[in-house]
Amino acid sequence: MNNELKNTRNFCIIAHIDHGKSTLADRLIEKTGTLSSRELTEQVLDSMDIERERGITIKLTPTRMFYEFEGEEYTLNLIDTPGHVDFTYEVSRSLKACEGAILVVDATQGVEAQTLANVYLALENDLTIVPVINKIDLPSARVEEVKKEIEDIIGLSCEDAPLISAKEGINIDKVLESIIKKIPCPKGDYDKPLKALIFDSYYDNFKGAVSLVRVFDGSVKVGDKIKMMRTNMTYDVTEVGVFCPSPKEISVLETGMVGYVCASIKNVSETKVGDTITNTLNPTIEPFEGYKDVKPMVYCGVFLVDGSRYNDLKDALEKLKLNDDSLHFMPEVSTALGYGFRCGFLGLLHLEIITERLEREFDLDVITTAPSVSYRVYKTDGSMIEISNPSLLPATQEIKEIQEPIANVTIYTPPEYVGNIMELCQTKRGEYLDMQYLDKSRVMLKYDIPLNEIVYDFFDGLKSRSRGYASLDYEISEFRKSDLVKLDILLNGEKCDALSIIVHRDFAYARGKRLAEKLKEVIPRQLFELPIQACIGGKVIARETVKAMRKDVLAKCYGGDISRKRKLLEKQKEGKKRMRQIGSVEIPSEAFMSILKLD
Amino acid sequence: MKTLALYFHIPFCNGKKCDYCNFVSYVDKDAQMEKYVDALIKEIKLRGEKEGKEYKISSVYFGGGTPSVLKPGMITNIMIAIKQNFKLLQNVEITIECNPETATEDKLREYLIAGINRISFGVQTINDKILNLIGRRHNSKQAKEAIMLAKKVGFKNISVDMMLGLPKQTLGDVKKMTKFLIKSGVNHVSAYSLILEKGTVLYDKVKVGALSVPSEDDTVEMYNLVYDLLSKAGLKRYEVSNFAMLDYESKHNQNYWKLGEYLAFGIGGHSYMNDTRFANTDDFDKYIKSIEENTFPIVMVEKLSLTMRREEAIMLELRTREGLNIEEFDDKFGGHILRDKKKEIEFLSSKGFISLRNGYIKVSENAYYVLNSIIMKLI
Repeated sequence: MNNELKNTRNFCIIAHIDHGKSTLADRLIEKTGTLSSRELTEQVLDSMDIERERGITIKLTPTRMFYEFEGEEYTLNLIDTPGHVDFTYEVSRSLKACEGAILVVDATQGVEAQTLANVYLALENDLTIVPVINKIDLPSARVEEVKKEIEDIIGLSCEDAPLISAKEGINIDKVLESIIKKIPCPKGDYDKPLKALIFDSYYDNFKGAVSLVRVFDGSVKVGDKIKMMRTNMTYDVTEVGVFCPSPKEISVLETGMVGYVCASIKNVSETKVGDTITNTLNPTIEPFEGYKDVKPMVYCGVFLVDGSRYNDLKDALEKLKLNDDSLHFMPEVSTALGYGFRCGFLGLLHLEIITERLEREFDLDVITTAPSVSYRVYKTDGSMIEISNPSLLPATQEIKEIQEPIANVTIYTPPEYVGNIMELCQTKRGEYLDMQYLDKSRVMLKYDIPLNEIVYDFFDGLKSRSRGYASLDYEISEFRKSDLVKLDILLNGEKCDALSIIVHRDFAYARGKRLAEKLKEVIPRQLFELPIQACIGGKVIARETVKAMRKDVLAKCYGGDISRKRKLLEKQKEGKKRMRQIGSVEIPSEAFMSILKLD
Repeated sequence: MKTLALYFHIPFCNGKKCDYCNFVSYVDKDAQMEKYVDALIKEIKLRGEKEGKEYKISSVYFGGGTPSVLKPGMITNIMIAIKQNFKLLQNVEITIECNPETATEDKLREYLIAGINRISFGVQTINDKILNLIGRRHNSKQAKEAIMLAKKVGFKNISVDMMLGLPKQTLGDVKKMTKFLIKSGVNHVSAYSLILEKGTVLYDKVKVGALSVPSEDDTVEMYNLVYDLLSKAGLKRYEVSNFAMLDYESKHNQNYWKLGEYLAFGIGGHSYMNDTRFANTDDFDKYIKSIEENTFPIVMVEKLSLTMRREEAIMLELRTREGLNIEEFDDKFGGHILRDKKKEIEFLSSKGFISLRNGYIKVSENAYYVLNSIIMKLI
């Protein structure tokens, strides 16, 4: 075997939030001399705020490191992975680019749900998993127990697992040693045609769409004519390079290497994650398996608190789209919320991340409507329309049938939660498909569940019913006819289009009641009594009343009170800008958001 | 000549502060009273040199704290300083706040002789249990006696403060209190709803659930009852919380709602002159030191913009029986409120919250309680 390949390791880090993934990554980068700690801080500051705060990696940043071990120099490629079901596909592609994974477990917390989900995913991709026990410096560390947990729950031997403190830099060399000793080197053939996997891409203002790749066979250099095997587009390579961790141009990317390829590609929609890059003149025969064309699963309306900034919202979405092909959007008009966009997302977290980025990076105050899925509506005139905006659902008499997307759901869970989870799936209109005991610590459940139910609150339910241990993966299998109705909300007799949802008839009453109750909580008392009605068609199924404001006057208003009182009014006036007017009713923007957080 | 109202803050209380009070007041600085009164007199002189020539004084108000805890002669000395440094209008209204338990015949006579012509008793309620609950140190008997005494001594203008929405208070309590006031012949009543201010004993007690207060709705019922009983007895509401017999409306307070100018003395006092609001320090020692150094102890100055004054005008004038004079308002601030706020005004008047009459926007009697919402629509 070629020496280069023998001395290369491609790996990722799997960890639960806060268990120390980024800290360990930083330490590895520091220990290998890839960056000094000062440079590291600067780099850290550069990365996305949201990512830092939530402890989830959104964008994958690969890093090449060199490390000398027992007289030989090794190239270690760290590929970072996001850890959420919304991004399962992206994670699976990143994992595919690796031969091994470091599993970081917090010695004070033990094995947690997110860890498991990604471990399962790594196992599916045949990765070698190296357990590492972190935070051993903390007084509450319970190393032996946690070791046993890993052995029992995951079935990994922890006999020689490095015991480390990423924070204090203890035993980082042991981690590097384990990577080299335990993780297999990449296999591949220099002489075969180019076969590289795109596991991520980003947009650069000067270079265009940049593909992050792992080369499995052959090599690629500037001037090569390449082809994306799924999109069938061809390009001339303008630059290849590696990440150290900032991009560094090199002359050729060879078998086993992780790096980037630029080819004057205009749009990230042409550099699809999971696609295979090959050489046009000497192509490989088969692309990588497992490619998926990622489509939005969840839709919602995105509006602004300050409607006059519509163009800013448009610009912001376009900018985000440059780097995120999975984000879809088109203009939408709501009578309640004004001009905005109907956006499509991979899942709820993706939705949350995008709205948070709109708020932070673009300084926009956004209102999002309840998440919806895309329905197929067959009309009596024989036509079919796809609808992701409930308020656009045609009148009942025009509808022949509505079909909804069904998710093929796979849940991995420790056996003790199987009962709870099955019960949850039943209440979410789930159809049982299969159950397998994979080993004594792991059960796989398969269900068909309408995506609409998953989008609603399935994930939270799953978490609470399995104490966080169950993991969820799903893909859309089909569209199925279903008895769905549109639930409208009337405020003071006026329909509020932004609050309409599509729901199964059996759940309509409960949802309507809950929505009305929630609205009653969040809508402030008005000068008049305000009826809140939940309706299907013309029929009222639930009603709540916000009593009229009785007293808001400040009884005393003399010399010293006046400026205080005026400032209070000014504050209220500022708050009024966040109010939406529906007929004569004023609703705080937050009310729309709180609808999302039913239950 | 322009007129000016003067306010004197007397930051001392008798033994302890009331459980709901968040005013600047000291219970342990009796020894410092003399120092404070000296400083007040000096502040009067400093102000007199500056503003004494330009203004005539329409009203003087001693508030607190408890002004009536001052030692004999102190109020007289302050009054002398005022008269020496300012020109008082012929019909000047001079009020002192007085707690029933501190009202002695000697004190009341002193006030009258010093020129004080209006007395305001903080009675709050005549339910002794409630008085005790809210940490007042008088009882109903003392309250009744104090009012009698003031009348006997010769006060013609007597006001009483009462509170609504107190812990354990019922409509029955309020009825009893109101009837008592009518019977005792006071000619001015201020009825305030209890506001739980952060940092007060009562706030904490309610917060931890040791005490509960009547609901918003119940408090409105209490107000309605007070309004009904008082107006039948000739005490007409002339502001959200104030009721008076004809011509006994408080000039001093009306000045605030008409955006008149006023000057405050003592710690924590807020003044308003030349479209500028400014406030004295509320630190006792800093106040004394500053005055000793012949400088005004001002810690906050805020020049009001036209918009700010416009908002204050709406906020304050709508509190009063008279209401907002449309023509004056438009003249002062530009624009046409009837046109600029057409939709809101139509909505409010169609629902009966306001009425437009004789060139005034006036809040309806039963809509005073939601004044804040009404103001929010109009600013």
